[in-house]
Amino acid sequence: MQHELLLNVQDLSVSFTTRHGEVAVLDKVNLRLHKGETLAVVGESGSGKSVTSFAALGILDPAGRVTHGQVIFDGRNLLELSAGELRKLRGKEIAMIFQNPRSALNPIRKVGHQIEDVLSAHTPSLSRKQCRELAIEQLAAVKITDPARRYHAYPYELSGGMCQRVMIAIALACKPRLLIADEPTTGLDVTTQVVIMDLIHELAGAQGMATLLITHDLGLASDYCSRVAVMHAGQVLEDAPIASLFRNPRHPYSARLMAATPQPGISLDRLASIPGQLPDLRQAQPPCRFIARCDRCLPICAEPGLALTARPDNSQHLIACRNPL
Amino acid sequence: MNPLLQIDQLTKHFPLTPPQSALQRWAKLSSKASYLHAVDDVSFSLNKGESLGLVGESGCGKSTLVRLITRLLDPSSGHILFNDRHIGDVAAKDFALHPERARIQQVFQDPTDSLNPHFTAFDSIADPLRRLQSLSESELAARVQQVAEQVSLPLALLNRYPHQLSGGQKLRVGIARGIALQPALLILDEPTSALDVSVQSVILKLLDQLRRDLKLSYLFVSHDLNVVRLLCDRVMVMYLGKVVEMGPVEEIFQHPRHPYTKALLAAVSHFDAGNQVQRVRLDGELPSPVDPDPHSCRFYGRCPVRETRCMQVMPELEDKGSHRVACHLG
Repeated sequence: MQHELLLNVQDLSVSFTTRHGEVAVLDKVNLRLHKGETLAVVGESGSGKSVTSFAALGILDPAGRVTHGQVIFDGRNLLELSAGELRKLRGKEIAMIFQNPRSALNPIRKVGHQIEDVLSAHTPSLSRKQCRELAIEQLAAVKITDPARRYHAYPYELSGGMCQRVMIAIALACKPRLLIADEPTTGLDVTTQVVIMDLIHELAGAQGMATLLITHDLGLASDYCSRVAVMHAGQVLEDAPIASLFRNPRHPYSARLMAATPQPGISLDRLASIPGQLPDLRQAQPPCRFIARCDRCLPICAEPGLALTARPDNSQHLIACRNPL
Repeated sequence: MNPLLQIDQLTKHFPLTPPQSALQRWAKLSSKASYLHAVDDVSFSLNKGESLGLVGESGCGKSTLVRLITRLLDPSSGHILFNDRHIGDVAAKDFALHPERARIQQVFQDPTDSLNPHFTAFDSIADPLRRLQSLSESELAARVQQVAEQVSLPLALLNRYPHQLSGGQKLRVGIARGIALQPALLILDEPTSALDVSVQSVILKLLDQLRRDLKLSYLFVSHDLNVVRLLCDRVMVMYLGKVVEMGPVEEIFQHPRHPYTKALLAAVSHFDAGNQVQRVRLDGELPSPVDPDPHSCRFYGRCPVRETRCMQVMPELEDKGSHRVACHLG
């Protein structure tokens, strides 16, 4: 199955200037996303999942800057676009669902108007009436009951699940080709989580949209994605098709992460833990940033030149490890 | 042996002040009062050393139930027996001076929000001891050190402030504070929901160890059923103020009988790629808990297997096999 490449993040490095000096947050991140594909980026908090997408969209915090690499979206390097060109792209070609819908929505603006904002920004020719009709249509598409009435609702009048639906409606209003969903279900109830993920999955499928799902929930990734990239301390350690990763994780970190996730049939004494913490990125880092937490580390691990490479037995399964499982 | 905690037909209804029309205000007429049924006729018991899981969606009354047990709220009716004493009859404002106060402690949901940012870890742990026990400064320091060791919190961290601690360390401070007064019952409200899996597994093991070592009883509130399964002996499922199913944890996981429990379990993630079990999806959201129909099953509107009688007769919690279920069809 040969798909066309939609997003190609190549050797992306980002660092932040802080009062403690330069912090190299991302180290040569590589991600590839094909048209219509769903890729999950998983990792602990602080592993650089969100920063990767912020850097790609040019919405990094002013303290951060891209020091290396490129982000190719549909043949264009996003990092070389002007602010105006990026603004035309964001919301239209690439949309993002932000973490925590309650704080991402404008609290003093009706949700219908917030959907209209995106529509009128990208299609100025639309009349106000058309905008309104499209916004209501969009609310109906995310299965909000009574959309014409909910159009007038403020975010505080809606439940967490409803707010998340509004976020999805805003993101999908202009039928983007790439959707970045940053922890879309964190903070929602389990029953609401599956409904929201089903909705994203269904709408993405209907529009042929590619999805980048940022999550720390491996179970969620396995249910909805075809591929998973595992990140740790700003590095992609493993990038593999879902079945290959879960049956046969090759990177010690991925294996540990899976063994530490509570699962039916695993008792408490068999639940693994990952020793140590994410490394302090203010200090200079060894080529493999997992080195201090790894139990399979060899002298060669401290030598430079670590790269994400394909396994000889499976060209789809990429890992960055000198001593894989 | 009498149970440590016995809850009998506990009910909490919050009166709502209805919006009044100008005419009503002018005529000084009051409209009919309505009640939010937060906890409705809940009965259960918790034995010494037992760990009971409490699961359900947000808004189902879990937190109200916890606040009733910790006696921060007064129940509308029903009894709370703790160590054979009726603590439900003590007014919430007087409970602070009650001898059982120290025996019920809680570990709160968000380890960051639940620590005073102006307190060092030491002060946070010492606070309940200072308030409820009269210890000398040296005794206090010794006790704080002792509990810090019990939760494996390095002593060097005791004079740090919350912003200088990691999420896992902050939670350890919260747990240390909870066990400092040597309680019999520790209520854990979603303790690990803010943590990464790598830290979560260590904390879960710690909690399990503490329960054995200190002979504690746990009331473990969580929406993560995988975690409940690891830590609890029995589990209780709540829906809209009512207990819908209760039983030994493995029984509930292997053979859920209530359609709501089935839906909750189906929403649990397990990464068996390509080996998807048929998932039950619930339509809609939790209905309003304001003046629910007393004759209809609360789950009726979202139930995938509902029948007419479910709308006419409210199912009661009944013994069915090894667990208790409130469903006509279970």
